[in-house]
Amino acid sequence: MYCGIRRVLFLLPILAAPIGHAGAGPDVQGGVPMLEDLLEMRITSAAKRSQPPGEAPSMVSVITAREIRSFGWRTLADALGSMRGLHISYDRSYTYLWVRGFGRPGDFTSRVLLLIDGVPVNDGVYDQAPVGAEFPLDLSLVERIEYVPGAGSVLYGGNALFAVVNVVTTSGARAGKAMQVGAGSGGAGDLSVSAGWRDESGNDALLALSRERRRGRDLYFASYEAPGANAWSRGLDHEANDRLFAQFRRGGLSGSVLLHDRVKGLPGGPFGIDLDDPRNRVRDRRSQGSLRYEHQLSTKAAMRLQGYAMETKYDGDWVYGGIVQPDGMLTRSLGGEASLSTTALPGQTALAGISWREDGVRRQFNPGLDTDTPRTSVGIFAQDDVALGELTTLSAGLRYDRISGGATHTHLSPRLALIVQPRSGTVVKGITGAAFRPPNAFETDYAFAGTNLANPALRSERIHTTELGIEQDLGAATKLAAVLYRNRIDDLISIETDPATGLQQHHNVGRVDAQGLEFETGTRLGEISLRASVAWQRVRHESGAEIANAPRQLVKLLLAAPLAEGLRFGWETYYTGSRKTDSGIVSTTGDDVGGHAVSHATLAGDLGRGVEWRLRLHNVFGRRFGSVAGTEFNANFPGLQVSPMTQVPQDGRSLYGSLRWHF
Amino acid sequence: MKIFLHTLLAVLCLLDPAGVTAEESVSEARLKAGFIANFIQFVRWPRNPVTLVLCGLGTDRSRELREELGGISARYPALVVRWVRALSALDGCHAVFVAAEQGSELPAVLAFTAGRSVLVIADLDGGAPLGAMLSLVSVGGDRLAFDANLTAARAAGLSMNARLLQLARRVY
Repeated sequence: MYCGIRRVLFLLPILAAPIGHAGAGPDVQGGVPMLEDLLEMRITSAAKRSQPPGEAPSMVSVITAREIRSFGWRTLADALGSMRGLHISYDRSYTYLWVRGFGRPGDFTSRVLLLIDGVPVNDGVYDQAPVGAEFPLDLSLVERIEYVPGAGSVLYGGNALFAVVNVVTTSGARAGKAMQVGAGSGGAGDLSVSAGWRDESGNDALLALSRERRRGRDLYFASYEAPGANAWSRGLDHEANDRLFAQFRRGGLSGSVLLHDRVKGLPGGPFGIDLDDPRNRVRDRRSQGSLRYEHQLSTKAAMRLQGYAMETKYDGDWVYGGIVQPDGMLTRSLGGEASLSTTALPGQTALAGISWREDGVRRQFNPGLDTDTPRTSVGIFAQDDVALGELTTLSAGLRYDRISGGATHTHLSPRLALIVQPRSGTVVKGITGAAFRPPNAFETDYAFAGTNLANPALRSERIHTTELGIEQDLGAATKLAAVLYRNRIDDLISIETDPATGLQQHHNVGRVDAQGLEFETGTRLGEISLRASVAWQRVRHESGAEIANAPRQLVKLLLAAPLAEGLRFGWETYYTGSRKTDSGIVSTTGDDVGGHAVSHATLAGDLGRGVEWRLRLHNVFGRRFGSVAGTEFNANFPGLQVSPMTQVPQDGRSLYGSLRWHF
Repeated sequence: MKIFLHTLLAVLCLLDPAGVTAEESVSEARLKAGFIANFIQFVRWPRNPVTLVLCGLGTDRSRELREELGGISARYPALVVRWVRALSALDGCHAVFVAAEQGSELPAVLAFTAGRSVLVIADLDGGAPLGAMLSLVSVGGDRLAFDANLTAARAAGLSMNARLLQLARRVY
């Protein structure tokens, strides 16, 4: 206790520092820290209840608001890309998250369930988990990001194939009243305002608005070089984001509204569009609202009710031969969940619930297609965490899902985890589970004359995961984690290009095996914090072919340190090992892509009066590298103006600066 | 001997890299005061008082905590903190904090406040099952958590915010 309390306080710099000092943000209201900051961190998404990460049936990682500030991260992908075993790709239209070496180019991250405060974000057509600038929430409003790897279908149903990512929003009290302006390379700028407050009864409210604009640079695509041919996309890398977030919490009741409008130009001629026509663009809009009620029924039982409504719209202008071809989708979804948790049985924490989602509209349209296949999903789930003696907990869960609309899919998703704490500071977890993802409307129904064919006969893809993990504290300030895992995916759904016709269609392409080993360490020495991870991963199709864009190693190093009074420094280096391009056919290994390392540096300081400045230099050494492209670039479309491209060039050195006022 | 022991502990803390930069001004008391200030915000009384009177039951050993709470009440005009030594002085208190050194007085405090809407907070491991509505507990030696006694709070006509209960280590 003697040293301990000091240590805890040291780990809580918000207590040690006045507002605006040494990373202290708006965390303090009237000098009193938030209760959450006084306690050990807890997560809510692994077992649908609040628990310390060490007790969760998953090798959970968490990113806090403090880290987001330290490194000046502006997108969810920036933050997720820092986590062990995750990597990011960007095709200059959308951003994709790869989990433990796995994803499919152009899959819209449909195999990860993305939640904001426990409410699903994935839409009804693409199942898209929007992780780049297309994420609907400003990152300054994020309290923490919970990454729960493993088969998540046990509590969440479809989509939670590789992981559940839960983004927890901050409270009004913590956000306070703030304003931010920023500007950077490529004609980028942003403006945001937020107002949050909490009254003495604990009622809390938050309203935040933000606007981002980026003109973007003219891009030259060396892979399109040919005598007399144009390889430029001019004025096509522009992007605009407008966001609104409102939230209230009153007792056990909370609600939120989220609006997002994004427009992005389409450089590089995806899907064979005219390379240099400035009219090429996509627009994505989202409106979402949710309500939640939590109530402690008795000393041993609590209930939770949750409901949400979501509308997403996508409209694209794709220019072929000088003619604009519209392409679009519209989804409207309603969902709800009721769950009950109890500690009535000695040594047990049991949870049971029912969830329902009605994707009432799942419409896709273009000049040759207008299809709508509404879908209803119902799931019932239960999980029991049983203490087996003092040191061991067995967590057993099971969920049944029935998804109807088009074809009907039924699935049972179990998860079994044995969590052993042989001594204080050591946790060993053995976890096994199964999860599934039903084919989405894009995969079953989408068609585009001359390029895409529908496939209503697709089956769900399934995963079986087994992992063994250990977390070890070395003293109060250092943590080590190691994970060994094996994933087997059956009936993988992947888009393939018919070599004869050039037509694309989604197929169940058989089994894929993934194995890997991950190490991570995090340490704090005074105000200096360091996080490093290494992952070795191997992902192969049953044919023996190596899956595209599965780097054999991922190495990450993050350092945050104070340089002087009121001046802070952040450094990130990410090494992505060698990987393969996408050949367009899963059973054919693509070409080699060498490994590359990219580093970013952030400098931040205080100007006094609650004003904080931040400069982030992205890709410090101007490293040239590409993201492995999917069929949007590498297919040989009929009548294509340019040759296929297997890697999409990424941004070189770029600078972004911002000023933030806390009133 | 005691001084020697304290010195030794202090030196050990200095040797611990994590402790090197711990600021001298911050203290266990500040952490506890933070908990108490939060607790009050998350509880509702049948008729919420315009000015909330928090009474501390403690001795000189709680001097630092007294200062910390005094600092908070100076910033919150709606919070008045009073320190008392005798149970009879607890009249008119909306919330009572029983300091660690007065833990043995908890049953008497509970008896005194029975039937009234008084929030009883104890700095005592095992305080919540005894009847304290909120009780600080040290976990793993280097952290604090808290337990809640929802039954006792309800009997006193107090309602606890669901978020508070979610953050509690145990709910009785």
